[in-house]
Amino acid sequence: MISVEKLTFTYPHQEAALFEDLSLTIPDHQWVAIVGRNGSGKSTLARLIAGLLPTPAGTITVNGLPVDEDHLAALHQQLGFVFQNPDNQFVGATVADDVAFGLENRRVAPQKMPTIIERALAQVRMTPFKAARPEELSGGQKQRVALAGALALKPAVLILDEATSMLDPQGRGEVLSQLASLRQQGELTIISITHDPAEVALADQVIVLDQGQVRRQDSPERVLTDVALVEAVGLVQPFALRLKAALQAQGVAVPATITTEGELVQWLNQQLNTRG
Amino acid sequence: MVEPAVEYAGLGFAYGADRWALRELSTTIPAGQLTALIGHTGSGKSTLMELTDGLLLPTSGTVTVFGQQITAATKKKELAPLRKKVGFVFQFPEHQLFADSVLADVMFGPQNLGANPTSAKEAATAALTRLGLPAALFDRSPFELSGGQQRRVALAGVLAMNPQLLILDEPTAGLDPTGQAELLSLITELKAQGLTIIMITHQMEQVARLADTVRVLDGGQLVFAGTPADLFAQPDLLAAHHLTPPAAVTFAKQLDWAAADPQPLTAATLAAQLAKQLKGGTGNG
Repeated sequence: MISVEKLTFTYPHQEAALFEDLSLTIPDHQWVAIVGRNGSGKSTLARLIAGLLPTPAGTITVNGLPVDEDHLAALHQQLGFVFQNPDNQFVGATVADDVAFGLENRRVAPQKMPTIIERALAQVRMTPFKAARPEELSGGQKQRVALAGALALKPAVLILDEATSMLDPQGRGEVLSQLASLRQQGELTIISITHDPAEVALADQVIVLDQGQVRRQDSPERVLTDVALVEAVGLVQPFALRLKAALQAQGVAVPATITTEGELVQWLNQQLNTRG
Repeated sequence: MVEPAVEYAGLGFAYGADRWALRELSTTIPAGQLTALIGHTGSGKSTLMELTDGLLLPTSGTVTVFGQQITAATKKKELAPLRKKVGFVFQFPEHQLFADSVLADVMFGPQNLGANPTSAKEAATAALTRLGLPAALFDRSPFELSGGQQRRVALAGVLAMNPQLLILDEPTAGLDPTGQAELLSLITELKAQGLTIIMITHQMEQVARLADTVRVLDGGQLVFAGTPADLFAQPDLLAAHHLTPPAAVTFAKQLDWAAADPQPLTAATLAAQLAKQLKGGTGNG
């Protein structure tokens, strides 16, 4: 469990506090999406949880570990982090080297590394690119390597800071379905900071941040169907909900209870079939 | 037929002796339109754009940009006029911002092309205004701006050189939905003002909404040239080149109805066609 309690945080060069008395809980083995406009504090929150910023003492714990300087090393054993821009996190000369880098830092025995690297690259379907250099890869492919690097360290908590925002739809779909199956089989807690409605829809819970406050913590379904909330926090709705709204605007009375693509397809087919 | 801004004829490019990045490519880029260029890493699309911008010379065949023909024999100094006609906005162009103020950054391009400070300032102001950046920001450091604003400053830096052809490489990558929508409507306005635009993108929703015409490259060869509607009507072609159709196309396939013509590519056009069918008959409450 990740617990944030009465967190107040101000960036050194700014006057106004970004967070004031922020409290929230992220349960174990769940996928929690954090959404909000740029500047809402979502990336800062993720960095505070990971101890990448000076986290105020006594405000955040990760699986019982206080996030402070004394516990940073233990904390980083628990956490994997994937950032938005793939070019800023590729450090190896090749794909395999890049994944090995994290393992070396963790002092994993060299003879164990090839197996771990193979498995991590297979998880993100990058095995054929093992020997590729970063300049031969697309942004999406580099991002999958970054994900492999994080997974190789077997974290308890994986934090994704807009990690799929630069992938093409196919790459994004692959990464998301792999994350979903990882979460199901394993012990992984996923925190994903995102604008992507498809990524939000896969989560167990959504935390909506607005001006440093939790505006809502709820199921993806309830957040995504709240049009006013979705617009206020700069999200877009998934395709099925946008189509539903467009149909309603055209005078087609789609029932309010329909919220998923499957339900909308089924309802439309009933209507199309009874028409003739 | 629309007059071509760019014409590629039997174009080939090889790195070294026989590493061919492009082979026998022949197609055109229509003037005043938005052409989407699609292809995965290694497809040759970056090479093609570098040939269009005069950063590379063909190994075989020709590139003709607004009447200027470029071949393997073209001299480097003959490429200068080409660079004035073509503006290339790289991926994450804001990473190349460097000056102390927004205005100075945008003035750099025109000055580099030989403009005096007065006309460079005029061109920069015009470009920034065209992209909706308020004058209050001109003297600020570009690094104080939001990601979406920085991207627009970088784009202004290219527009200030007054290109006739604008090449955009993944222009919305990394922006939030609001920033993406703003940038896409700016691109539509630029096209309406007469610019020819080539947009490299992976986002099929953007292709469906914005592109007049599409070129798909794979393995250094042109595998498709036509309209978005033609492209998305060919599931086998899409699958063969690992392209995902827009959500509206995937959704429409699951419905029990005769394929609509033209095939709807967006939520709005799909809703309009469905409404027509549903309201046209009886038994629909």
